[in-house]
Formats: sequence, structure tokens, C-alpha cells
Amino acid sequence: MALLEVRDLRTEFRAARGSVTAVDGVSFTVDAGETVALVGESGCGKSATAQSIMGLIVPPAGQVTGGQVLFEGRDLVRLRPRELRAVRGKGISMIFQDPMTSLNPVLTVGRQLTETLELHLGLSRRAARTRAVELLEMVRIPAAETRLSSYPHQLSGGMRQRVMIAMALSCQPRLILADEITTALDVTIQAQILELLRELARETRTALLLITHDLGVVAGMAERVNVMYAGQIVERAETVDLFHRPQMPYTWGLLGSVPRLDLVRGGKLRPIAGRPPELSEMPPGCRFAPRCAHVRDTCQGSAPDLVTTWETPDRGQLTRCWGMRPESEGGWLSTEDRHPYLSTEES
Amino acid sequence: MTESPVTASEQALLRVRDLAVDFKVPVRGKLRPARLRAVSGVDLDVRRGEIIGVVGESGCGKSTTGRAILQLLKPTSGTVTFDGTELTTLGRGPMRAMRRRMQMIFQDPYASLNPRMSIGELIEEPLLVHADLSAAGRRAKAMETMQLVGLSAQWHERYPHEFSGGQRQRVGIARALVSNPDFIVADEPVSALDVSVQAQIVNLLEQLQEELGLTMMFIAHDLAVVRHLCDRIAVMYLGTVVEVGECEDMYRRPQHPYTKALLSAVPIPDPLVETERQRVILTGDVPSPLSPPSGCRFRTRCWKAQEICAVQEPVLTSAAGGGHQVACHFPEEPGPMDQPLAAVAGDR
Repeated sequence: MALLEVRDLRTEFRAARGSVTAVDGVSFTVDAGETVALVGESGCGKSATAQSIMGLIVPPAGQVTGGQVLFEGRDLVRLRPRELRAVRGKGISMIFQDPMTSLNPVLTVGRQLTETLELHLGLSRRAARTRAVELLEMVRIPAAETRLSSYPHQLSGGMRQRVMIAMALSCQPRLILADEITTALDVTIQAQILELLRELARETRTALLLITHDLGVVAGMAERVNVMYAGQIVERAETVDLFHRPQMPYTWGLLGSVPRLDLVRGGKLRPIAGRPPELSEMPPGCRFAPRCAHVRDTCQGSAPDLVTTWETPDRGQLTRCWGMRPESEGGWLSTEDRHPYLSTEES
Repeated sequence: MTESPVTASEQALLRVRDLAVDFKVPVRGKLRPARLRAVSGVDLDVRRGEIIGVVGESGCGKSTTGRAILQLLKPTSGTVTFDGTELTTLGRGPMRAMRRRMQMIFQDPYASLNPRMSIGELIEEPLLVHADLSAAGRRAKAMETMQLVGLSAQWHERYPHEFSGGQRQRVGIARALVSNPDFIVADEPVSALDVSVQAQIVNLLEQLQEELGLTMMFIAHDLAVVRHLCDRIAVMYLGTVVEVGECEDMYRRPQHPYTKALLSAVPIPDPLVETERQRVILTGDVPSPLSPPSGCRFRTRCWKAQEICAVQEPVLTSAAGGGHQVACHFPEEPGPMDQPLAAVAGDR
């Protein structure tokens, strides 16, 4: 059994007229100790998915309207608030993008850490304090003892994110959701934080659901990847396969849009034309069809499912694309060169 | 500096010498504000027709340098010479006239456009100040510029809220270009955009530079985008330029430890490369610019630091000759040019 299994999740938000569906039939799994990425551009529904898992989508602003979030076999969507609180912290914890707004500015770092420990683990004040120092040392914060009395504004962005990681780890959860945790950080600090997270996840055998827009971060961290577009998963693969044999034209576009430091310079970037559809005006067929360079009539007529485009006994790849269906089913892209984005910039 | 001053001034459209910018910041419990030196002793030449990238982490002074060059911030000391004219001592009137030739593209396409003005009005606005054109002439010029940046001329009566981030950034670019400037400072113009849209704007800037022969200072923190777009690169750290050189030379043979660490920290979107790579991971944070370290400003995070680094501030000099300059007491040996890139970015 997977540690986390999201099944056909559907999350709607209230909009000016009616509602919009931000997460539309998303299914994926995370196994114990595994790092899985959810990657996509802004508005694709990746953060809404994470918030739905954590039960952070609260009516009337939004609502999980369908599907299941099975964590160790229990459906979190159906849990009462009190039961959900017991899962948060000890079962799943979350690290957010902006540590400045997610830390309480009027409480010291120490108090915020000990509060969690006292509430979730029932530690005494003194025991919680000792544990808090250990946690800060674990995330490599120098002079941890004295840092306990610091307020968030007295710390740098990187330090604040370390504190957030310490808080997330404090109850030894089995799964951590990390939502764009390095996006607000400078690149050398990002490297520190990712290295730290990689080590800690390995040491503590904690599973990680990494939510990001940065393919470079995915490449270095994740074992498996789900690419999201317009509220749906459009491709799922082992990380190596996603980068070396991407199937979905949207993934080609993402990979072709970023210049790479390790390849010879030259050649134009190959951006994706246009922009993602508005949630309120989804195309009837494939949601990527209006921007796709390989579009055919089929794509505009009906919406493709996420189906296996190849598999071996131990791995495989799923794609939501008519063109990538087997040739016998009319897939016109399945025989083409799958690395069009690499062809001019090979090192 | 081994570059002879004669050739430099011939080529350079812009010369910055010993530029410093101070900010006053209030200190708790004290009446007098403290002085924060955001930019300290920056020397930089921008050659005609080139794109020079200025990179560094937040707070390194790259944006402040850009603004001080355009005199949007008053430099505390130093000189900025644009096409033979000294800008720091120029009066208001002549400076205003000069601004037609020097424009800026801003990071945030949401905050930098007046929401109550139509796209057409926004793009025509610089012409009201800088050109002696009739209303019809301004309109024609604005439409022409819209087409140049890939906006349909029919959209001139629409308002910014009707446009996406990428299209707004095109409006920002059109505003900068409409007065036919010689020099543009682009301050993180693609940082706020999603990757697929970012690539559209990068391609547009590339194309405009080729077509119009623009000279541009491209300020950014994304080293991969900078490499893609720029001819030369200056790396800044805590208010100073630590290394400057031709783009490929900088990426393949970085000489300053900070440049090396910065390149090594950029994640590469290829899992095989990423797992093989050995990284230089810096310890600690950038020190506060209120009390920068003595001597070399990078020494507190540098794995090569020795006693001299705390005592003497290294100056930007060219070790190997040519335009590649580095400010470090112990620069890396310039290696052979044909090393694989991943190895350069990875090994120590």
C-alpha cells in the first residue's frame, strides 16, 4: 500500500460567476521514504493539490468536491477536524514557500517549535526546549541554543526556511509536503536548503512531495515526477525518463524553454506559444491543444485520458495526449523523435 | 587593468568609474541613521551593441547599480560617462533630454504600468516628453513599436488588466523602446514570469537586440538565462564587482570562488547530470551590508580564505590578460577552454 494515495481529487474555488475547478481528477501516489515531484507553471493546480491533501481548503472560499486522499489507508477528506489535526504534524507536515508569512512574527522561534512539540507530542516545556535545540542543530543552524530566543524577522530567508524545516520534522512525520520552498531564496541558499532536505529525508526515511515549477530542482531531488497542466496531471514518469524521453508536447515545451548551463551555448529557446487557459474557460478537448505545435482535429474534439504510453515490468510512463497513443490507435507523435528540444543544443 | 584606456573609451558607450551608492537606514535606539553602502567602487564599461549581464544574489547591489547609472538614484560618488557626457554632474534639463537615449525595463509588469492608462497611452507616454511629434505621429510610432514587440496594434485601446504577465512585459519593453534609445537597463525583466513565457520574452529581447543593435544591461539572478542572452557578464557580491569577462570565458573558466559557487548552485534540468555533479555548497549567508567584512567581502564564505583576505581588499585585475578581470587574492588558474561544461560547474 502506498503511503499516500490521491484518487481522482477534485477541488473547486468560488469565483465571480459560479466556481472554477482548480484540481480536476488528480490521482497519484507517494510511497514511504520516496521523493515525488509535482511540477507545473503558476495556476496549474499544484499548490491547490497540496492544500487539499492537508485539508487547508476551507469553505466558502473553496472545497474538495470529489475524490479521496488516502493516507495510510485513511481518507483524509472525510476526517473530522479533530482527527485531521492528529494526522497533521505526526503523519504529514507541510513547508511553505514564504517562511516570513508562515512563521508567527510575534513569537520567538523557540516558542513556535516548542508549541508544536507540546501540542502534538505532549512534551513538557523543558523536554520540548531540549528537543527544539536538537532540531535546530539538525537543520544546521549555528548557535542553536541562542537562536531559540530570536524572532523570525531577525533571521535571514535561508535561516527562516531552516526553521520551517525543523518545525516540519519536529514530530517525525512520515510525509512532508514542500511547496515551492526555495522559490524565494537565492541560488546559493537554495543549494544549501535542497542539500539539507535531501540528507534529512534520507536519514529520517521521510517521504517528500515536492511541489515546484523548477525542472532543475526536480532533476536533482525527485525519484518520480508528475507534470501538471491546467488542473490535471498530463505526464507521469520516473525522473530520468521524464527528462530523457519526455512524451507530452507540454513537457517538451517546458524543457525547451529553459537554457541549460551544461550545454553548449547557442540556438534559440523554444518557448510554448500563448499561455495556459483560464480556469473558467477550459478548452473542451485537450487542455494543451490551443498551444500545441502538434495539434490535430482529434485534440480539439475530445479530452484525452492519462494512459500508459510505454511500460516494462518495473517502470513505465503515462501521458495525456492523443498524439502519443500507439500508432495503431492513430497516435501521430509516437514514432517521432522524442527529444526535439535537445536537437540543437547537445553538448 | 591591462586593457588600454584608449580602446576601452572607443568601444564603450557607457563608462562607470568608482561608483558608490549609500542609503541611510534608521537604527533602533539611535537618532542618526546608519550609512549602508549598497554599491561600492564599481568600475564597468558597456560596449556599444553588447548585452552585458549583471548577476548576483539579492542585496548584491545589481539593481542599485542599474538605477544609479540611469541617475534614477543619485550616486554618492564616482562617475558615469554616457557617450562622452558625464551624467553625475548634468543638470536636470540636459539629463531629461538624455533620458530619451537611456531607458529602463522593470521587473514587475503589474506594478510598473498605470492601470488607468490604455496600452496605447502607456506606450505613447515617453514620446510626450521626448519627441516633438503630433498626436497622429505619436500614435503611428506607438503602433509600430507594438508590432515590433509582438503586440497586435489593435490592442492599443485595451487596459493592462486585460493582459497576461508576458504581454504586460511586452508593453514595458515597448515603452522602453518607443523613444529609440541607445541604451537600456533591463532589471530582472523575466524573473516574474513562468518558464514558457519567460522564454518568449528572452527570445524577443534577443531578436530586438539583433534588429536594433541595442546596447543593454541585463540585470538578473538566473545564470542560465544570462548566459543565453549576454555577451559579457559582471558578477557582483555585496556591492562590488568580483569578476567580469566574456560570457563563455566566465562560464567555462570562472576564476573567482564566488562565481564558481554560484554556477555550481544552479540546478541543471537533467537528473543524470545532477546526480553526478559535485557541488560547491557555500556555508552561511551573505553578511549584512551594514557591516561588510574587512578586506575581501566574500572571505567569510570562501573556502580559500587566508589571512591576507581579511586585511587587504582585492582589486579587480586581469591575471591572464584580455578582458577577464577578477578581484581575488587566490583566483582559480584559468584552465583549458575545451573542458566539458558540467565538470567546470561542478568540480572544485
